[in-house]
Amino acid sequence: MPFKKWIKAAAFTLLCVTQQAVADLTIEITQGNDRATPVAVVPFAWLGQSPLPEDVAQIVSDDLERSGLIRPLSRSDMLSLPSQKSEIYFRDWSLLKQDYLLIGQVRPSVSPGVLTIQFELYDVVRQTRVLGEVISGKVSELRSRAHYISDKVFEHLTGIEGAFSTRLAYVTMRKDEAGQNKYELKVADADGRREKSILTTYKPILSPSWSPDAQHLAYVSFETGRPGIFIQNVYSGKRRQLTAFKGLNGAPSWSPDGEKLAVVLSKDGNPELYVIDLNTYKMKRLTKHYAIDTEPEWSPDGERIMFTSSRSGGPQIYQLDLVSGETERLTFEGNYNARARFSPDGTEIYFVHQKDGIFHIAAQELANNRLRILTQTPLDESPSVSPNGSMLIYATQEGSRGYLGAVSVNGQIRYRLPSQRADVREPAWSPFLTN
Amino acid sequence: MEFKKYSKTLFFGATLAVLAGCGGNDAVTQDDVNASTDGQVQPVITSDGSNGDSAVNGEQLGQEAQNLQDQASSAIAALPEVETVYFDFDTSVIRDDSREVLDLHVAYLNANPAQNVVLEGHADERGTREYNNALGERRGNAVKNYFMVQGVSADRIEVISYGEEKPAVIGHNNAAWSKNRRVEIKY
Amino acid sequence: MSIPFRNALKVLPLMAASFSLQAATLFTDENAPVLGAEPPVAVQPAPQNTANAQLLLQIQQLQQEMQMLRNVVEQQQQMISQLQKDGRDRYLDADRRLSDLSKQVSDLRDNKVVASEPDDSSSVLPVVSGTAKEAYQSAYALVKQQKFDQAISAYQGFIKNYPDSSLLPNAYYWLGELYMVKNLTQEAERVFLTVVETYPKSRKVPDASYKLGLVYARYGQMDKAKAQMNEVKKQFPKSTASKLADQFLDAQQK
Repeated sequence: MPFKKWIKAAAFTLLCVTQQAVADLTIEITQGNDRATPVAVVPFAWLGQSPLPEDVAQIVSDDLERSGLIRPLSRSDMLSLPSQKSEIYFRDWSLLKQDYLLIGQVRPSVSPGVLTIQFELYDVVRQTRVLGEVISGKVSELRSRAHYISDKVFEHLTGIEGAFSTRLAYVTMRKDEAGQNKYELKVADADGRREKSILTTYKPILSPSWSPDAQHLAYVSFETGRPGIFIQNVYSGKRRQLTAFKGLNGAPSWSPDGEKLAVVLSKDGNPELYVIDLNTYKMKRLTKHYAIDTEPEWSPDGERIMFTSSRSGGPQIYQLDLVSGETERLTFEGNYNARARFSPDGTEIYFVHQKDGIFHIAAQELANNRLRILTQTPLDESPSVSPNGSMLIYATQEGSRGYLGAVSVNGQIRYRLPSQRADVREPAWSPFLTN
Repeated sequence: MEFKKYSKTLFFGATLAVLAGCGGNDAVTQDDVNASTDGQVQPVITSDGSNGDSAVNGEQLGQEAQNLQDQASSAIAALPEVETVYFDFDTSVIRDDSREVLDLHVAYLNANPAQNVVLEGHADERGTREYNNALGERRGNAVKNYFMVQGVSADRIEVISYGEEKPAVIGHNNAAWSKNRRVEIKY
Repeated sequence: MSIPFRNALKVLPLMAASFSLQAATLFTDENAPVLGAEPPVAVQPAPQNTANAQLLLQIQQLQQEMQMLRNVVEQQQQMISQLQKDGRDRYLDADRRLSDLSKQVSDLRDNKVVASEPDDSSSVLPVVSGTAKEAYQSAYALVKQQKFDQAISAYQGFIKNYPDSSLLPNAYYWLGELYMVKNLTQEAERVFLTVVETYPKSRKVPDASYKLGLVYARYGQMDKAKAQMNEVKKQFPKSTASKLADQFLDAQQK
C-alpha cells in the first residue's frame, strides 16, 4: 500500500562518483516486488578530510534495491541522517513506514590509506540493533566493502546468502573504427561496475565458464581462425590454449571440484562430450551418437552431466549419470530445449525453451518436471545462475542490440544491464569469491 | 609448452588416417571397424585383398573420365558461380535444390585435384550459440560427405563452423534467417 | 598450432577416412590399368559416384527417421512413467481415504459421542482435502511428541496455508494449548477467543471456553475465572469441559 509510486519501472542509473572509466553496463530495474521490505539506508558519515571516491551507502542501497526483495528509502524522504545510535529517532522511521534502518560511519584508521567502516542495522519496530560490524579496507577497496555490507544485510533480512560480492563475465562485440568486429571478454562486479577487459580479439569469443574457485575462466576463442578452448587466470591474465582439435572445440564446463573440464569436440566426426582431466590431460569420451551432443553442465554433486542432444530430432536436455552410465531425457515440452544450467541445490534446471517460435528462458523442477517460463523477450539465451540461486542472468536482444537481462528464479524481479556501446552476450555469473 | 606435450599425448595413436591417405589397406580395415562401432554406415566399397583396390579404382577412374566429358572442357577450369547452399531450420539435411550446385563443385574439384576447399558452416541467430556451432559443423560435414562420396578425398576438404557468429544478412526475420542457415564453399 | 592440427586431421570422420583412401588412390594411380571391362562394371552400369550420393542421402533420411522415432519412444516412455506414477498416487490416495473412513466408522461405533479428546478432530470433522488434513495431522503429531515449539510453527503455518480449512478452529485451539504450555498466556487468550467468537459452531468451543477460564485464573482474576467456568457449565452442561469446569470450581472451594 505505501510507496506505490516507487514500484515498477523505477529506472535509475548508477552514477560514477570517481574519474574512473565510465562503466560499460548500466542497470535498469524493470520490475520489482510489491512486498519488498522497506529499509532506510542512511548515507554513512565520513569522519576524514578529503572526499571519498565512493558513496558506500549508495552502493549498498543500489545492491539491495536490485535484489527486488528490499526497497530502500529515497534519501530525499529521510527526515534525519543519523550515523550512530544516539542520533536515531525511531518514531521518525516508523512514520516513514520503514522496517529497518542501516547506518554507518567511515573513518581513517591509524595505518595510512586504510579506512575503518562501521555499520549497524536496526529493527525499527523493536528499536533494537540486529546487526553490526566494524570492517576495514583500503580506499580502493571501498566498493568491495560496500558489497560485503550488502551481503550481510541481505542475508539477515531474507535468510538468503547475498551474492553482491560476486562477478560477471561476458562477451562484448562492437565495430571498431575500421568497421571490424571487435570481441572482448570482460569481467565486472555483479552490479556491472569495475568492468575490465581480459581478452580482445577480432574473432568470436564464446562460452566463458568460471572455475569453482572463481579464479579462472575457460572459454572458446576463434582467434587462431578455428575454435580452441583456452583457460585464463582472471587476475594475472596468464592463459593457455587447452585444445586445438580439428572441428569443434566448445562449451567448456568445470567440474565442481575444479579438477576436470567437460568439453565438446567433433574430432571423431560428430560433436561429442569429453571430460579432460586438468592434472593428467587424459581425455574420456562420454557420448557417442551421430546427432549433436553439446553444452555439458556438471551437476552440483559432480555425479551427473547434463547436456543438449539432438538425438531425438530437435535439441532436448539429457542427463548422463557418471556413476551408472545411464542417460535420461529431462525435457519433453516443446521441440527446442537447450543449454541447461543447474540451480545451486540441483533441484531445478534453467534452459532455453522455444515456444511458438519464440526463445525464452524456462525453469523446470526436476522432481515433478513442471515447466515455467521466466522471460518475456523473444531471443533469450545463455542463462547463468547466481551462486545463491536467486537470480538468473541471460542474453537477449532489443532491436539489433544484444544486452543482458536478469530475472529472479520465481520470475517476479527483473532488471537489465544494457551497454551503451556494444552488443553484450554470453554472461556467466561467478561462484562465491573465496578471498 | 605444457600444451604441446599434452597435444602429443592426445594425438598419440591417431596415425591411421594419414596411412589412409597413402592408400594402405590396413587403414581401411581399421576404419571400417570404427565406422561400424560408431553407428555409422559401412563404406560402400570394401577391400578384401591386394587387387580388390585396383578393380574399384579402375571403375572410379572410368566414371571420372565420363564426368569430365559431361562437364565439357570449358567448365573444368572455371569456378562454379554459386558458392553457397542453404538449409532448413535446425537440420543439416542437404536440400534437393542444393544438389545441382554441389555437383558443379564436385566436378570442379575432381577436375582440379590439387585444389583444396574449405566449407564454412553457419546457423541463424535463433537458439543457443554452442548448439548452433554444432549445427553449422554438421551442415559443413553434410556437404563434405556429399563431396567425398563423389570422389573428392577428405584431406582436401576442411570444415569450419562459425555457428551464428557470422551472419550473411543482419536481421531478425525469416528472410534474414533463411539466408544465414548456410554452407559457404570457399577455395 | 600447425603440428597438432595436422595430427588432428588424422582423426577424421569415419566415413571420410574410408573414402579418402579411395580418392587418394584414384589420383595417385593414374596409370593403373582399366579393369572396367570386367563383369563388375557390366553388372553395375549406374555411375558409382551417383550411387554413393544416393546412399548418402538415404542414410541422412534414415538418421532423421530414427531420430523422429526415438523422439516418439522417449515421449511415450515419459508418458507411461507419468501414468504409472499417477495410477500409484491415485491408488494410495483412495487407500488412505478408505482406511480413514473405516477408522471413523469404528470410532463412531465405539464412542457413540465423540469426546473432546486430543485426537478427535480428524475423525469427527467431515471432508477435508488430503493435503490440509495431512498438514494438520503432522502438526498434531508434533504435539504428541511434545515438540512444542515446532508444533507452534506447524499450526501457525497451517492457519496461514489453509485459511478455508474446516480444521481451522481446531488448529487455533491447539495453538492456544501450546501457548499455555509455553506460558504465553496472552497469546493463548487471543486464540481461544478466536475459537469462541469466530467459530461459535465448532466442537472446540466448549473446550476453548473452559481454557479461557484457566487463562483468567493465570492472570489472577479469580472472580472472572469462576464466572467463566459457570458459564461453561450452563452453556455446555453435558460436555467434558463442563466436568472440568466443575473440578476447577471444586478446587477453588477448598
